[in-house]
Amino acid sequence: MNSLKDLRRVVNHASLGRFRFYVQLFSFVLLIYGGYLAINVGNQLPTFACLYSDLHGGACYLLGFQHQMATPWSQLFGGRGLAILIGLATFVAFFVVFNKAWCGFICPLGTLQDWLSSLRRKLNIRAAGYSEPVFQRLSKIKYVLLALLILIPMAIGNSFFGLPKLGHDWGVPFCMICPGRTILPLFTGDFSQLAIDFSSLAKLTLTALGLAITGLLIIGSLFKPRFFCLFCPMSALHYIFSRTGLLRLTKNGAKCTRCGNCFRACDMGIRAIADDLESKNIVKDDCMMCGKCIEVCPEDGCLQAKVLSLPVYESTAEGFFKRMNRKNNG
Amino acid sequence: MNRPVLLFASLLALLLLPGVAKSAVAGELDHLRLTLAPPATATTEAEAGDEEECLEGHADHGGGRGGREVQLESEHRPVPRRTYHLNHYRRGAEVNAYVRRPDGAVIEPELILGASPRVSFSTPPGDGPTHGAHNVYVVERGVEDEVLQVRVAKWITMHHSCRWGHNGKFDPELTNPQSLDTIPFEIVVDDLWNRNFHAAVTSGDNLRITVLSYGEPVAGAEVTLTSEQGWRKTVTSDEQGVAHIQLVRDYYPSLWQDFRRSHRGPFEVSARWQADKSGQFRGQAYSMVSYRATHPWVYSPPVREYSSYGYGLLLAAAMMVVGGAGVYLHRERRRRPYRGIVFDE
Ligand code: SF4
Ligand code: SF4
Ligand code: SF4
Repeated sequence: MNSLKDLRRVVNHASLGRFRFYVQLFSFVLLIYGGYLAINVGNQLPTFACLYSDLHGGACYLLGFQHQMATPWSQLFGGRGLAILIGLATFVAFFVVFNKAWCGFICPLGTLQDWLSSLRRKLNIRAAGYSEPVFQRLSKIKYVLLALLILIPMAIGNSFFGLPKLGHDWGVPFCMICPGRTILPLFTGDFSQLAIDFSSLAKLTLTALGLAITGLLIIGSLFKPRFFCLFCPMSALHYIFSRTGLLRLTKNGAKCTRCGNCFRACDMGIRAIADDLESKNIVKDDCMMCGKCIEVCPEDGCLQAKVLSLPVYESTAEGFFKRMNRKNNG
Repeated sequence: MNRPVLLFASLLALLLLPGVAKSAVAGELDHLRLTLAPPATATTEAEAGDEEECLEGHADHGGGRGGREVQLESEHRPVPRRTYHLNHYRRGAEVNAYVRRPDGAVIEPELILGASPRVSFSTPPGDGPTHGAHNVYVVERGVEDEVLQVRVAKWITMHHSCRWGHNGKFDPELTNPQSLDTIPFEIVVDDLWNRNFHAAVTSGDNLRITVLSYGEPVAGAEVTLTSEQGWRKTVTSDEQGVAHIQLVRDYYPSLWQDFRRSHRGPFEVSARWQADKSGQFRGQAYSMVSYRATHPWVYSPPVREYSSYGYGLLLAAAMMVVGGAGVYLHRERRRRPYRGIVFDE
């Protein structure tokens, strides 16, 4: 029994940030270069294992999902409808295991933004944040993008209100504007996605938008941590299934002193992590389950990462001071 | 020459011409071709003579891939059974068909001769021994005028769906073109597909074509490339059996709005070669062997025709500059000390 307690103490004193860095590095290599070793972690992954990157070691769900959304409604009740359900079930099965930690620990585009943030710190550029009303407004954009990545492909396979169907060049519209498509292949020496496609108005619009967003992501991440994640439709899709996740982030409001440490540490800028004293499950729609808030919370057992109801990492005063000391002493 | 003599000469010419044409055809047989759709008039050799002359160099010829309406196969829509049609065959000749599967196994497909000659074989879906390129061959052999006529039609079926994954992308057995050393005359073209099993030829590509006979390189074979619009170029294979032909741009929509980046145009590589070999085939003596082979494929417009890196990078850079400047100015404005209203004389 004592040994279990000791193990918990060691874990709670550990630097989750360092662990996260190595997991991110490993996941990045696996998802960007894994294909070279014939590794395929899985299809329908709830993360940006971009299929445009030729050596990808897994497949991002959004590309196939957008293809499937272009299915004519008349075929939805046949094999293709079943394929859509199987695809969604596979996505959920992957997602359930790590919940939104797919974003905090695995997503290559998220990792890249974290590396740009490290560069920002090295360049001594102050981090930017949004005011709460702006944050609330911007955080809706990901749902709009999610709706569009469903509706636009639907309008390719089906006619809405008697209007003509959209051309196939509007297919996979989110992929066309996704910075994952333009940036991740660069790591395998493939620069082909950095071009604007003039073959049709649809392609021109989407690829130009894609490159504009890429430029914004790079500069934005040099000021605002996880700049793109606030707008990411994958994050919106995650949130729909977040309650089913085995990994959870919980808060005991009674122990919270509202010191605000967690909010200040949160790269996503989620104010509710400090302000919300009611919710037990504190995974908000923008949360990436990075665990930074747990690391900086000085109250015993106030914030906890749990697998089902089993705490695996929790805030402790002792752990907090240990980490702060380590940080201050380099 | 007086009029009755002229009339007589014309009548004689009209009567003799079909015979002349026919004998020319007998000496110079047309290629054997596999197509997706049944040819406009699928015929046996008895009727084929007229059809050949019509199809040769026809604007809608489509490199010999089908009748007037060229049908193309998509490697993105796998079907569990494949059927390819033969443009014709000669009665009395020996006709065999083979399929080399991606796993190297050679099977004999169902070969149906008759009014609508065709081959058919199953391609079970999913990642497994049939995931990848199938080489389909129809080999026809027969002696005519003491010449052993060997005609080979080749077709490559890319049996693939991205849903099955791309596990074979680093397996050279799957990504490189394969040949069969039991085929008397074969054309092998490099880089027809990329390692994701997607057709990869674009106009402007310099095709590397190898001509083989029973797996051995053939020097001095005449290799011809016929493009979608009927443009042709003929070169001769070198000592290694290799010939290079650059595929011209052959897709010119009159308006840019009509341009389709996904356009797939058919082209055909064909080869012919004669060898001074003598022998007997099915009891008939021959003093020469004439080989002919065809290999159709498709091309797309090259990416550089419709995309620009320059504008792309400029746009991304402009967004970075504008974004960076915006944040900088915003911060500067907020840093400026409050000056209030001061008296100024
Ligand atoms: S472009 Fe983006 S959304 Fe599409 S497959 Fe790549 S990472 Fe996923
Ligand atoms: S929210 Fe960020 S980390 Fe999550 S999938 Fe999107 S880009 Fe990746
Ligand atoms: S709330 Fe906590 S776990 Fe979620 S993103 Fe913010 S710091 Fe990370």
